[in-house]
Amino acid sequence: MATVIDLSVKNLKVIFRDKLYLFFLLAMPIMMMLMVGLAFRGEATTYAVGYVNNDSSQFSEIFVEKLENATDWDLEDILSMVQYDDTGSLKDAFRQGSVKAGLIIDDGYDPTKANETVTLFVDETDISGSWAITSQVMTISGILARESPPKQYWKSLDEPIAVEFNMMNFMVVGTLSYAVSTIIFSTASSIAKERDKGTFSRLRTTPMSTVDFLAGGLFSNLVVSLIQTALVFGVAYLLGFRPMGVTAMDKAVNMLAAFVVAVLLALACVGVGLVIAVFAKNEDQAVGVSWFLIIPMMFLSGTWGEITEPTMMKVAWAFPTTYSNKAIRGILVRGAPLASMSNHLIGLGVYAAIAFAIGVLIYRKKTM
Amino acid sequence: MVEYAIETFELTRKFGDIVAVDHVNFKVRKGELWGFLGPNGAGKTTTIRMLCCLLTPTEGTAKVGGYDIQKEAGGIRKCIGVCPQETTVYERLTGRENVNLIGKMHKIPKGELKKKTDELLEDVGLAERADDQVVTYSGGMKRRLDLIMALVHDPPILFLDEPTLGLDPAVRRVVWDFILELRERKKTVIMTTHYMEEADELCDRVAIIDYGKIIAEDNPGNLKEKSGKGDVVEMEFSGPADIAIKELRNLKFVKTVSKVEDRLVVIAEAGVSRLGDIIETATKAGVKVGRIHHQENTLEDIFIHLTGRKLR
Repeated sequence: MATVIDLSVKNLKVIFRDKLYLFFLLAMPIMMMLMVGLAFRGEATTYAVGYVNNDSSQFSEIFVEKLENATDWDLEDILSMVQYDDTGSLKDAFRQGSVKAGLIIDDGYDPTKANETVTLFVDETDISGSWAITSQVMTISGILARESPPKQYWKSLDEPIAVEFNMMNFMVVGTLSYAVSTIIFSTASSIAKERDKGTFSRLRTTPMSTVDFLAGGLFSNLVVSLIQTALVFGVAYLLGFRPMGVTAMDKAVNMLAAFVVAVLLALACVGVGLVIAVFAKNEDQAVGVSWFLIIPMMFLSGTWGEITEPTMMKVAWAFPTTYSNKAIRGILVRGAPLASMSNHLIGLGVYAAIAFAIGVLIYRKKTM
Repeated sequence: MVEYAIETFELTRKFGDIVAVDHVNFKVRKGELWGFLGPNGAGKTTTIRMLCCLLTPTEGTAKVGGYDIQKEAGGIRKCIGVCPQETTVYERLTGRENVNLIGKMHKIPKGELKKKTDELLEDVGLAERADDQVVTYSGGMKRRLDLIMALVHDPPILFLDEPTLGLDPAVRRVVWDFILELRERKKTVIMTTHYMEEADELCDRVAIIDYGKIIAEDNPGNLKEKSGKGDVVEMEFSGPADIAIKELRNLKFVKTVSKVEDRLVVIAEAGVSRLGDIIETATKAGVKVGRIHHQENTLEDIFIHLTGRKLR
């Protein structure tokens, strides 16, 4: 263990004394979080939704009323419903930007029947607004469809749906995933560099084992990753990000839980970096392959937005960030306890263990 | 009791179809400074890498410090120090941290390591810059640092792969003195080089390797004796060389004659005083003699004698 610690300390010195490298590893997540935070922070917005109600039943009235009264976790109104007499007027208002979305309820609306009587269109250029409006409309119509008569359901809904309609919450998780994922590149390039420069061979002429060497790389990169995670959370907090939770203690616990998931993600990413380092012939190749993996991984694992295509959703499970995004969003955005995310945590742990084992086995074989 | 520090047994390494080291056998006595000579790509570094357990042999094996390279790598790593061909130091660490790192890998106790590090840094003139990052060092300083990193754990066997490659003459002399001091301390030193004068100056015994095979092995004096005592006369020439070579070989005082690129290399007793006879014989044989250079017989001449090629 002393050898692993010595190697980790050596790696950290090498990383922290290279200012350009350090800038990339630490300033990049801070800058990204600043950009995301400044772009998406602010008080919860109330989105204007125009509607035309061509139905005369109590169902449509309840539907509109519930949309009007929907609130977020802080009991702020999410939607402001604006009635229009006809579809033409609604479309004009939408084109002029007076409303962010349009809702048309046809005659015969019945939430318990799939009779295609509701039309929703949103301003998709407003990612945050379109996401909030669509999810709210879908959630309420879905609830109305399952519960009949609807009033009974709403009477029992003492607790609001615990989702913070703040795009920043979503983006904090994305930024965190991105920051931690860059450790793949850092790990792969640093190990490949040691091989290219011959320092690995030199160390191998000492009693140090290959496992010691790779474990040293794992721990040092893990430390860097944890610093990145802390920086992302720190900047997000300064910009107003607050995790879900009723009390301050809940919020702190959830933040800590998210940190635990980030640690597991970092472990898995370092493992992936090891595997890339093993297969790459040199440092340049290791860097190229890392980014070739990181970029699609970001998109497919729902880092910047959830994907919906069924096949790609399955493919996404091949990436560690899919597990972490789901777990961290569950904890920070929906207030889920860490234990309820155990399947994702196990997934990440297994991922890290397999990647490290493959890395060690092949590295030993290839360097002889 | 191990008689030899190193013994190889048909040691062979192939890379695909290329045989880099071809059934090599040699023995290095304890406390000997043993030189491994040959041109670039001859197989020196590949042999050293196998002996340091960095490369697995394709065939054969070797013993280093009594340990088998195939089965007892752990034992070997404890008793060797290696200074690789390329300078392999961590540029972002200080000189002291680089030496300490290797010491820590060998689990040298802290106090002892500090003392040893200070001593070695002083020996090679790096004490004043010991706490500067290596990125600020000159090439010669890095090479000296590289050398002491191989010595921090006081190993009985040292592998120095081209230890003076690319160094200016002054720094090379510092390294030579340091290597000679190692011999005085009874270390076994295996040194590869393609500087013939370096092997001539430093080594107790040398082996010459070419195309993966050892083509000669002895002490420098004996090797020079075998290829012929005397002066070396190199003549630039133009015209047919075959007749000239034959005629020159017929001269009684001439030991060997070989053609190397655009030069005739003649090794002859009292060659300098008989320069007139040599030129006259060559001219009569139909060649036009250009510039002439003469010197005492060296290991490089032995390589030429053995292979018909120049080393560099």
